[in-house]
Amino acid sequence: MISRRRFLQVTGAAIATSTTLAACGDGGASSGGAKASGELTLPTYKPFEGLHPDFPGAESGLEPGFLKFPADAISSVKAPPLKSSVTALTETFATPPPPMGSNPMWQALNSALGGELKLTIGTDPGYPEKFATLLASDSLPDLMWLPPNQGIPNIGPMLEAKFQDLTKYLSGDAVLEYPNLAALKPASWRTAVVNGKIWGAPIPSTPFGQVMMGNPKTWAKVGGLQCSTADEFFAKCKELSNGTNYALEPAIINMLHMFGEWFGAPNGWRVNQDRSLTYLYETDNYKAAVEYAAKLWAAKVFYPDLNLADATPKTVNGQIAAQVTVGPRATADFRNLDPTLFVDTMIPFGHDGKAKPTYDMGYGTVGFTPFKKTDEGRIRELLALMDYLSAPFGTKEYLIKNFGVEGQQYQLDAQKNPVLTKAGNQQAPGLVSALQIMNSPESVIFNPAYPEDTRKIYATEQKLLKYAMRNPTAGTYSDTSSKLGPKLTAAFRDTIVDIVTGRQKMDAYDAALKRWKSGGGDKMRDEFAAVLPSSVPVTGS
Amino acid sequence: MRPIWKERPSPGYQAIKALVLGGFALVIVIPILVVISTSLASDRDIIDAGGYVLWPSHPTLKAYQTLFGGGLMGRAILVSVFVTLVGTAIALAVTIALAYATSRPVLFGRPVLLMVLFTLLFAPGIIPMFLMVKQLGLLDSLWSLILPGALGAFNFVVLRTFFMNVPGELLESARIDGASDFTILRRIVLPLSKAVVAVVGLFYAVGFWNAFFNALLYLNDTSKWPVQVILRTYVLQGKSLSADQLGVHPPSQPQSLQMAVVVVALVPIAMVYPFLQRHFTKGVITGAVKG
Repeated sequence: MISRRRFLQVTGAAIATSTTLAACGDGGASSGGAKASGELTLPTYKPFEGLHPDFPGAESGLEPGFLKFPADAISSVKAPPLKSSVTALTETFATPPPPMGSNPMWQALNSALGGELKLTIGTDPGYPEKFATLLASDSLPDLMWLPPNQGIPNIGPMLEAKFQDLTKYLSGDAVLEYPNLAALKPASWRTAVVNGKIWGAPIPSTPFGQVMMGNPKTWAKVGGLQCSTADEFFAKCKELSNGTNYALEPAIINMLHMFGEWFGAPNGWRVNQDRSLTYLYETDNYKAAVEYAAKLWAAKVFYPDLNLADATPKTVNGQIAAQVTVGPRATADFRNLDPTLFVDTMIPFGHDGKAKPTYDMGYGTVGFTPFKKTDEGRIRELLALMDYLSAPFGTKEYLIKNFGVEGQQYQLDAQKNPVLTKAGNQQAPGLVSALQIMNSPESVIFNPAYPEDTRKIYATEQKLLKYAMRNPTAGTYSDTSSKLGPKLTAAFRDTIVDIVTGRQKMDAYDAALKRWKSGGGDKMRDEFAAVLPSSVPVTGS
Repeated sequence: MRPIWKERPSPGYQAIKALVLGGFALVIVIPILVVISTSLASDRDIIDAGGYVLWPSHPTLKAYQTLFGGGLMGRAILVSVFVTLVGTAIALAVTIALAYATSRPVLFGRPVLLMVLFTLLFAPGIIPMFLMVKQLGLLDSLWSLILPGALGAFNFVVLRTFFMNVPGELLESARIDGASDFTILRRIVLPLSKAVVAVVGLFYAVGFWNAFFNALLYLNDTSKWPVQVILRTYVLQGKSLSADQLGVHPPSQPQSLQMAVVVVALVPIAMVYPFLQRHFTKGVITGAVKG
């Protein structure tokens, strides 16, 4: 039950968030940004030496694979980074950790760092509100994680007004003073650049995007998950669906994302020859994918309950044959439920067997963590902390940050892989998630319990990379997109879902597109086009 | 001939009534049963059922053991109980005092005061609230969950309307007998208003128990988080859209654990209802006529 006052509070809260930050500036984030960004020298890339993955990574985004945790972890920093305590706002996507006072792992981290790391841990959803209140109250912590996709507006003016420009400490060879930061790839650094300045260390996550995964036992009946034409996929889906079992999970938008790849739709925006931009929704490719999805829906191959929150258990037990997951490493989610199950990952194919499909890479980072304005000594101290927390997989610092102390939070198993103990399982997950979201090294493939999976995922990634396409606007900011993007997208998606599920006809598509354009889509295009880096290639070339 | 409502209902009519009421009861009971069953189900049961379990064939208390095995849940329950009990007591005291004072005709300048109170119906928005809480030094204190919500304007209006309908003659005679305002409130008005006070108290208690947003904003120390915030993180883990877009994806908590958290968050407040139910029906009806 929600009392009237509470209701009003909640509504008031929503309104307040959308208007407050708008007061911080007039949205001039885009002016001159592209030019300035072009002149910036990104930090010099120098991969970390002394680690030998079983499968090497590559600049293309291919993640290095480790069959087991490197024995005799080496140290990547020379001295503890901190002299005094540091406050930070971050977010956990896991359940929250026990507080510092009753969390030995946190205390061990503090003593390794040389000072207390006081974290304020936000949750999702709710993070932008927390961010906005702290910003408005002017009681900023030393570090504040800035998510790229949760609708925090006026990024440019906000950074200039409240946060520290770190360009001179990180640009070019200056970064070499912090070897773990120098080991972050240029593609990651690009997402920490706004208005031609570097505002923090980027936080790499997997560079891969969504994939379709299927239970091989289910698909064996129709000759396997992989297909070479859209018609073949349609026929297989139909064969697998019988009123109690269904081929596809009911996440229409995610499924459409997959179909779009088969029909050659761009990743977000298409860069045309004249360097103008065309949005995904405006392409015939996406429209064709919508029509295809509607055909599949009419054939009753989608699980009918659109509100199904998590299809994973149903994919495991065979009620649903395929679902869309966050990326090629998500095979682990299925192993969690059924240790004998290694799911197949669909490799995109051309819809007619001839056209070149695309594979949409993800954003690649979870943003960056800017510093509150401060003096040079403190900046150096905080950068050393960033360096420590960005220590690559396989180092001593990585172990302390992710697994704690041997014998307390983790033990080595027979293959010498770190495994969390019972105490570790209580103390680690919430804390590690909060730390990873404010700092991370480049990602790796590592499945200690199933080393074979690492080999297979590595192979899948190589196949996916053949069709890889990056969102040309990743790492740039459009204020209209921050403010109105989520709302416009939601409205358009509502129409698409209606079309796919047969509640509206296909001609509603153009009307919805018109609303999207006039409601802010065209403005977003202009803003993104103005800051489009010259290094971004024309799509399809 | 007897009037129709004195006739014995026909068996057919009885059967239809039983069917309809039984159907409604099932619609209410089954989801709760599913939540409880799933919280007791083993991983195998959950995979076989594809998510929710109606009846666990291998019941286990594992989920509850994990939940209370050193995480934040035990503390969170204490926090929620404290906030609910103390919050409701303070809120009732403040609301009753104000409602009584404004319900008596003698108070000078009442229209102006009511105008001021009317503004309470509108929320101030999160940033002003945050600044206020910060300036009162309540950040990271449980009082930040209690004091800002201590006067619900809606509850105040309900209570005041009720008090105004207590016959003036009754209060006048008490005053002639020498009773002070406080005695009148305590000895006459409150005993006459038990039902409505119980209802308003329940509104407050449920409100305090369910509140989570204030805790997210004002409390940085995770050990002070109430049950609802913990519930939210357990249930939403692995389902975050923004986490998916970014490619960070902690696996969902096991379904049994999610449902165990729901049970833990549900049971304490549900236990209050049977004790208040009598007042509740009465209070709602009184409100309906005297509104």
